[in-house]
Amino acid sequence: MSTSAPEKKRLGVQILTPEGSVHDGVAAMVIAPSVGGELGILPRHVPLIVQLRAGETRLKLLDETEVVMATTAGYMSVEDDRVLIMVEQAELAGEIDRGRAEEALQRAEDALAAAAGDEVATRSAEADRKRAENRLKVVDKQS
Amino acid sequence: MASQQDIKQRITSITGTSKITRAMELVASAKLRRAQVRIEALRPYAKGMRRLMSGAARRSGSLNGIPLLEEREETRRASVIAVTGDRGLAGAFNVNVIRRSLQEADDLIEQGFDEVVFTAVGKKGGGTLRFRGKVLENHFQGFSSEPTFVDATTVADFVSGRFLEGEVDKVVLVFNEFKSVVEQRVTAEQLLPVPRDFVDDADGDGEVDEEHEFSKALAEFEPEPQALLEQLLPTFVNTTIYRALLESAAAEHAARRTAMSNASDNAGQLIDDLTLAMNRARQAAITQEILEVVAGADALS
Repeated sequence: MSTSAPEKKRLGVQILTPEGSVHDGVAAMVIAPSVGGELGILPRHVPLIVQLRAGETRLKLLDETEVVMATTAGYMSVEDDRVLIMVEQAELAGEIDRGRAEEALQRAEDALAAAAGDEVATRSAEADRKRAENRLKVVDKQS
Repeated sequence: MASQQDIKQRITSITGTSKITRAMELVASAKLRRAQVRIEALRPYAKGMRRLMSGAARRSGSLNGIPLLEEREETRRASVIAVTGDRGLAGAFNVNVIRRSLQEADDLIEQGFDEVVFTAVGKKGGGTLRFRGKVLENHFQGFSSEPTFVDATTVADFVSGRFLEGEVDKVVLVFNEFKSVVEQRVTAEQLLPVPRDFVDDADGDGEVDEEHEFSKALAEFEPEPQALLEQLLPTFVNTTIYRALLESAAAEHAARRTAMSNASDNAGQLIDDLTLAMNRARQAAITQEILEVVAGADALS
């Protein structure tokens, strides 16, 4: 790596989904669920490309507050103190409503049962269910 | 000449039609704007995807043996995916895609393929292709106006599956590209095997990149570069199809807006013409009556 200034002790973090950018800011540390286990990224990390599984991604901001997100499977690249997380979906844990998440899970399960045989509907219901389950898991850990 | 009554009725009916076309125009405008926003939102993701892919490709020893990348010797069967809309009344939007798909199919036959099968996205494409007696492998519908990433994944899984099973040796994607509000261009792209330039050329400038950030530094990979690339390729295919679906949705709304705007203009023109004809008919009737009165008075004197 090039000789970067010593005060450069932060990470630029961008979280992208096909539906748009979910987060764009700076953080002191990023903790993401890679396929090989939880992975913490600090400034001046070596360049990295990893595959992520569904789980929770945490950002420690510069003022010590934490942003927690429920993320689906995807990829993360780290390069020159820039962290790029690309997942299918990402939601802020604080914005997840437990009741609604449970309802969504129920709805997805009903849809899955109703979709028997229909390939398209099954796929979409299964994706919904996985997302709802992950969402609930992240919310439960929060409280 | 048609009677005043007839003309009046036609004017009423055309006014009704023009109200409908005007409303459809407004709805299409609103949906078009939303679709445009979604295309914009996808761009950074698609770009990042491509960068990751070429980063992984550069670091994996060999690109051979990755099924989704491998050009096949066999030319038994090719597949054409035609992305159309679920609804009509959008000018030549659906017809253009069908025509181009059939033309691509002819080209593939000329290239030596024994057979070409179709996969239709959108109600209109499926119906027309079936009517023309083409082999339809699968038919997806119900999401042409507002496609989601999951919809794209469903289509991608099906075609990738067919390709990996060896049922088809090449897949071409035909869709309406959204150029601007007034221009849609029908585009055909090779989807599978994934063209090599997508992994060699991260920034999409048409040249093979000499230098790459990830190749300069010794990057860590998890899993290994080649395994990662194999994981990335399906996501790339999903993203490509998602982009095509979004482009097609925006193009469909733009085409419908133009078609409906023309229809509303025509209706206005027609109403003007008919009003003129009605006035003429009324005047003729009055003149006729005066003549009759005068003739009657003359006969009495």
